[in-house]
Amino acid sequence: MNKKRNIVTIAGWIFVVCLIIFSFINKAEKPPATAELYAMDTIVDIKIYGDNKETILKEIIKKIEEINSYMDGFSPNSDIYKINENAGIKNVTVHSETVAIIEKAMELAHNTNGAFNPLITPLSQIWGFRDKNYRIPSEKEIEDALNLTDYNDIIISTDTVFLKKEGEALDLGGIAKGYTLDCLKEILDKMNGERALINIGGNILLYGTPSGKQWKIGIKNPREDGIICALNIEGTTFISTSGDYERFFIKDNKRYCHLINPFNGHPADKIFSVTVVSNRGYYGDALSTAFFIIGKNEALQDAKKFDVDIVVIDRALNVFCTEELKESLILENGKG
Amino acid sequence: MKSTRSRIKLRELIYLSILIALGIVLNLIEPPISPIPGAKLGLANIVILLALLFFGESEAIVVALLRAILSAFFKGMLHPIPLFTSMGGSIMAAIAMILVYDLCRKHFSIVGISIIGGIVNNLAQFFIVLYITKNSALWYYLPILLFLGGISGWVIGLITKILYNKTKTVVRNGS
Amino acid sequence: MEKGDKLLALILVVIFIFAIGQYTFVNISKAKRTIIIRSDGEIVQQIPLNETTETITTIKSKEGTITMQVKNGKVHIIESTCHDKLCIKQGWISKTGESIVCLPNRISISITGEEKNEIDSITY
Repeated sequence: MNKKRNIVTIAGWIFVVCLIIFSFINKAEKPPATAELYAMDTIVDIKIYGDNKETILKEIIKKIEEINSYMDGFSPNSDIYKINENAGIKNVTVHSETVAIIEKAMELAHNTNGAFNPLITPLSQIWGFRDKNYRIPSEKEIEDALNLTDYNDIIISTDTVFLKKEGEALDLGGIAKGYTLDCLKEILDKMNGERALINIGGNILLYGTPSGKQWKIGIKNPREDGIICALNIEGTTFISTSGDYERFFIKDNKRYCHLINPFNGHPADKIFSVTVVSNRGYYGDALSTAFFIIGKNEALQDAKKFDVDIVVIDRALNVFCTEELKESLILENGKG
Repeated sequence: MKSTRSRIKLRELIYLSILIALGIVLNLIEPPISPIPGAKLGLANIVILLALLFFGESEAIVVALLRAILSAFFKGMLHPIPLFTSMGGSIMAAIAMILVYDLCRKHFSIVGISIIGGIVNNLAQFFIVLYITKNSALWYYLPILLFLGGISGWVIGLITKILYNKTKTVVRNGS
Repeated sequence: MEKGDKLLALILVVIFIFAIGQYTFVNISKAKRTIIIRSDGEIVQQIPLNETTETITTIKSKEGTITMQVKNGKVHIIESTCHDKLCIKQGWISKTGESIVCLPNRISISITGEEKNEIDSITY
């Protein structure tokens, strides 16, 4: 009788120990709070993990819609619309958030010597990217449009914005999404978020560390379905990509994409795409546009200056990246 | 003239020392199992079992610990991790065997206890390496490791049983 | 042979059958193998493994460096800064589930069958 009890006790203890070990090994994943919405002229995909995920999700959606309302250049109620309407006429009082975004846009315009240009709108217009009436403009049209792209003509004060010349117009599409992600990161910080993944039209905020210890982010193949490579990323990071495959038209076998070179007025075509990995959202977003314009070698050099890492896909679908990323990069077809 | 008590104590000390020395040698010469570096057959369990059978639980634990520590000194602290795994495995196996001996020795022969020791040895080494390298691919090796642990435990048990039977007269009665 | 011994023998047989089963099952799916390299516990590199992959790579960790060669669908370590060189002695691995571990350098090389293609998101 005594022996039987001993065996049972031991068996019981072994069972308990096994349970404890297993519970540590298998931290079962609780499903995230998710949302998918249409904002900033694109699809937004949100996944929030952790304890107060629903509340955080609500805050995030609110913020996205808020910034969207200021930024939507086509909506008459937006700050941007009003500023553009009054270009060359008078300054416009706007939300402080709008001023902040424009300030950052000007910062990046200066830092990239104009490769990123928030006043690119007239050029987008003549190539047909604003009304989807794609066309090849005349040299005169291009020259005239180029005269309306001097970002020094943006005059800002604490709550007003003024565009000096009539015909000038702001387009913050190349920085607004990144900026929004910065705000969302702040919300996650403030609300003690545990982990999150937010994808606004290809601009990604990775927040926290995933269960597999690393995030795995795929970079879309610029010419085919699926991804061309993937990055293993740890911790909170911002990722932005600019490529020639999103908005473009083809005429006479030549592709014209929506990213226009502010220096010569023609759509940039040095590379197929560039992905920027950085710790600031607005920065990476604007830089991805700038790097796309200036091309592979300059981009790889400048990346260091800007303290970001990049992946460049050239016109032969070759993949290049900055030194830091070499370890994290996985090519789809196996070339290490 | 030494009292009988201290004479017995001295003899015990000598036997235990021999066992420990034997254990160190066995551990040094035994081959490692791949790819769990540091994982070894566990030949040292022979001496731990013998200490257990001849002298008792506390002596067995002492032999296990001293064997492990002295082995570490002999091998040098140059690369501590294989040391750590083999020490961990050996001590966990010793604890397991002592527990079994203590609580349900009626149900197991010497060979049986040794099999348990062998399995626990490999199990412990596996988890230690798993924890250090955090390589989840290692789980693939667990079944075969457990099986080999059982087999080596069986062989070690047979050797121990033979040794035990041959020497018990000498050790018990002294001469 | 006592009661407990019989139980042990039974358990060992079961484990053995399990091991055989696992071995055969895992190798039926030989299709897509990937070499996963971990250094200091983190995955640092992944290389798809097939018959034609041929490469020599160095892998660094806080503790040291190893050089790995992939050839003919197999992997092995050819150089290591560790003292015992046990990892080199482990030889070639090629089957799903197999691993080479260099414990002193805290580097491990494993072959997995599943694509591990758990992309969290795509940037475009």
